[in-house]
Amino acid sequence: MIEFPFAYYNCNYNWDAATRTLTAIATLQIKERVIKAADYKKLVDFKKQVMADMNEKIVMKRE
Amino acid sequence: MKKIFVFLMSAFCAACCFAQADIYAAHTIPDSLKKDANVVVREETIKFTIKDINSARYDVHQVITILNEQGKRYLNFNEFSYEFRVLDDAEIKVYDASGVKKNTFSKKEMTSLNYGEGLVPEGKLTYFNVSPPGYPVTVEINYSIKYKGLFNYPGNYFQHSNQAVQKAVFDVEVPADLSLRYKILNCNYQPVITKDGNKEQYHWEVKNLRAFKTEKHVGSTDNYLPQVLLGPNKFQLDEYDGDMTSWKNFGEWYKKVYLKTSVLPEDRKLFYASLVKEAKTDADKARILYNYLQNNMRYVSIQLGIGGLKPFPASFVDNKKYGDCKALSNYLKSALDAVGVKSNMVIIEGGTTPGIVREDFPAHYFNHVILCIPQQKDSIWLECTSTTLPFAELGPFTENRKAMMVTDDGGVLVNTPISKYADNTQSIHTIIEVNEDGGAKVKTSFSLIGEGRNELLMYYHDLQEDEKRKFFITNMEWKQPDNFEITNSKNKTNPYLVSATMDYEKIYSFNAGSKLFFEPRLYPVFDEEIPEYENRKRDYYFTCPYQAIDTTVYKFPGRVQCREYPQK
Repeated sequence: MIEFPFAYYNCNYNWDAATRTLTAIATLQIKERVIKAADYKKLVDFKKQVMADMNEKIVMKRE
Repeated sequence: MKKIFVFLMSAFCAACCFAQADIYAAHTIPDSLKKDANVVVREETIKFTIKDINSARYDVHQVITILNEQGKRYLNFNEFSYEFRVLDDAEIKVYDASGVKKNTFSKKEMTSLNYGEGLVPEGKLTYFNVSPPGYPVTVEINYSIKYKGLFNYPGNYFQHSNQAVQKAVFDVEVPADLSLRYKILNCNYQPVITKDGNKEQYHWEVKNLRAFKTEKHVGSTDNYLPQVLLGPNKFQLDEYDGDMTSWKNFGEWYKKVYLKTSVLPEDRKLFYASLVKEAKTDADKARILYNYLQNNMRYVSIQLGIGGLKPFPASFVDNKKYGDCKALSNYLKSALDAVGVKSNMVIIEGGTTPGIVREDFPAHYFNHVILCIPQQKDSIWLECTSTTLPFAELGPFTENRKAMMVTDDGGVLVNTPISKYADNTQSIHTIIEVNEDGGAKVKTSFSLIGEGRNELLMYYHDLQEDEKRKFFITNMEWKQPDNFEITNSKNKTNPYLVSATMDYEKIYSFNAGSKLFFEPRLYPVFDEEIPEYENRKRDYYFTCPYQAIDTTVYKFPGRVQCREYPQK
């Protein structure tokens, strides 16, 4: 979970071996329209963390 | 004697040419003014001469060197004319990099189009786009505007971003008995004020302003550009006298202007009364009439102020079935009056990066009109130009800003409502059925409310099928499929629904031996441009608060095992 007063991101994954199903539920919230210049580094940090999570891969192996 | 005269004339001409070269040649620009500049204002003289309460003249002389392609918008000339404001004369001269004149274009050579679909008396747009011989290029622009009714005094920007200024003068002359108000923003360029008989003169002059860069997503230029706002004390437009020294008085003027325009024919009043006879509350009545307006009237896009401020009468809209923002708002107000629901016109600036309305400086900051039905709690705000906005929703075009409500007691500054992130929600559900070969069948469905819905209705809904597919890939940045079908809500429903099925021959991103690597989803859930700055100086603006909820389900075939997935 990535949370700042102005924004929130979370992604939950669940692997169900019985049905061979992977479910990912992501929630992104931009709570404020205006981000103060003083908080801009936090906004950049938020984006970096979200992008890092979004760029992670699901790895499967063929048997 | 003759030889002396010829010598003196030659010297004078040479001096003139030298002086011209100094202004028109790009190489004479000091290096300090080229840094971060796309354009350099070499010389600018703007004079606004107020003759009396309803007539004035605005004379512009500009010499601008455009250094590169990024400054090309300065090569476009556009001016509106209408009954109260007429482009009197215009001329553009084009000089090459060394200051040699290449072309002169007069007003006759410019394109002039009728404007306003009959709603703007004498409405014309005059424009001309200069084709530069290359960069740098210098243009000299001279034009004059005659005002035959004065409502809004033009202010002045001393400088824009990525623009350097060698010398610029802004002069204003006004009869002393009228005087004027001014407010300086984002700088401290004070005027020299002189009095000459019954005239007041205001003189601003700036020199050698170095260019500055602007950070991205900084909101309105009012937040950072050096400028002066002007405001009249007394004014007259369309034979209506007004006083702009307070919001209350300014609103009184609007009230007078609107007074005789809000009358519907008796048969139409009866029609609306019958339309709402089952409605129990004012809100119910308003919802029925708003939906009727959305389904039966067409919006003609004319910015408030262009063509005046008096709406076409409600009877005109009723007959023609179209109108601009002020005419449609006035029409709905008239219909609401007919069924006993009180509403107020609200004068506002429309746009996603609105300027700042200064409470201490009443002026005409506005370009749009909406309607408000005051309630004890949560007043009802109506955007009468939209055929798609749900009842009582405004959206980023008019929400979260100050506006002037015209009440029985004159003008009152009000704040329009602020949407919350939940009001602008997009929910996306995707099922990816991966096959043994690494391909997949994908089914996705979108459900959108608020701004996401508005954007799709504006930019997607009316596209052809192939354009819709392109929109998915280029605008929404979906992974390019091999086959693709899309369906969406037929009737601009709320929420707006879109479904797509896609086939991929290869759904995974890459493999390493027997390991296959998949993206967690097939598009970026977060794609805002948030560049890194060492020290950001200005606030960052999103269009509106919002949320995205994405559910992506991968269904894998037999003989494929999950090895890793991102952990919390």
